[in-house]
Amino acid sequence: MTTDETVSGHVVGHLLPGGTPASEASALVRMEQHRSPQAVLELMRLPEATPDEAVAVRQVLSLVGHVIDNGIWDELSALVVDDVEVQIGTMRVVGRADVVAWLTQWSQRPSHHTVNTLVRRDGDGLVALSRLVTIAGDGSVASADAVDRLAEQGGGWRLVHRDLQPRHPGATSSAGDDSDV
Amino acid sequence: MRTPDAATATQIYDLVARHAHAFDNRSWPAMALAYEPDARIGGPTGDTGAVSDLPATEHNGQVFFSHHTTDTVLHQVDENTVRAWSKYFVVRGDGTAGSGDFQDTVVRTADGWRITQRRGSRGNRPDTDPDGPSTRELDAASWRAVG
Repeated sequence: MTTDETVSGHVVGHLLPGGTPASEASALVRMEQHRSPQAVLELMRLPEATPDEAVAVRQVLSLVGHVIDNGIWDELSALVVDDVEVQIGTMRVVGRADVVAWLTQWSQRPSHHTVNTLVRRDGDGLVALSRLVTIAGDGSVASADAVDRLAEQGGGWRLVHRDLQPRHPGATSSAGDDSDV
Repeated sequence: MRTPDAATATQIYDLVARHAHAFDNRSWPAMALAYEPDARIGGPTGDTGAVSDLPATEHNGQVFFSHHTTDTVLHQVDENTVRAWSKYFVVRGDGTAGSGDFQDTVVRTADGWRITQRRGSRGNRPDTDPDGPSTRELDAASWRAVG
């Protein structure tokens, strides 16, 4: 694990600035994961999206990863709404411009990999439950639960709200819903 | 190999992805959306337990790593049975990863496709792995075989 200050936001947790210090990493192999049992259950019980909708959502989520990793910010307007909200643990960023500003504060961003996406219909919109895996330049890996809400706009599906909860979040995380289900 | 039609494959890709979300979040009712009630789990040589026993792991102090499945391939055994072979990887709290394989028997039910048997095999791992060394054991023959 690197101690390079330029990637300090991308060590264990990757998605949370001030996450667990790398120097503590070896002791945290068996760090317990975040849990949101009730939220996951409610999302998984929603009706499945159509295959066309699922493909469209996977396109958006994957493209968002490509945009972030390659810094091709002018592509983002076709993928997310102007007032997109991004929640990362307890931190919240609102508006596409502010999200880009937040992402570009580091010279080295980890690469983003979206896997295990379930797409469900929720009212007039779609919601996707995914794992967002990030791999930093030093080879370290982090994973987060991603809940993405999308609305139909301008003939396509666009990201309205992204909620990221790191699986191994460190001290700065929210505690999860802890529901007894 | 007999590949299922696209609609069936799409449904099973969704099914295989459900385990990580349900299990890692310890959402036991959500496990019923992925597994048959009498589903069995185990290793390369046989079943070792019931999926319905997994909630007990929440109270024995055992810490699991977060799971992710990729590269799922499907073999249709008959109209109502598919064998799925996926890669999986875990992400540990220290930012390291480990890889392995899952092979599932998937059956068509009135509620959609469900896993009735899952066998896992950790990949080739060294003595320094947090859970000790292991050797890859599942293969194409075990993928096509039911039971």
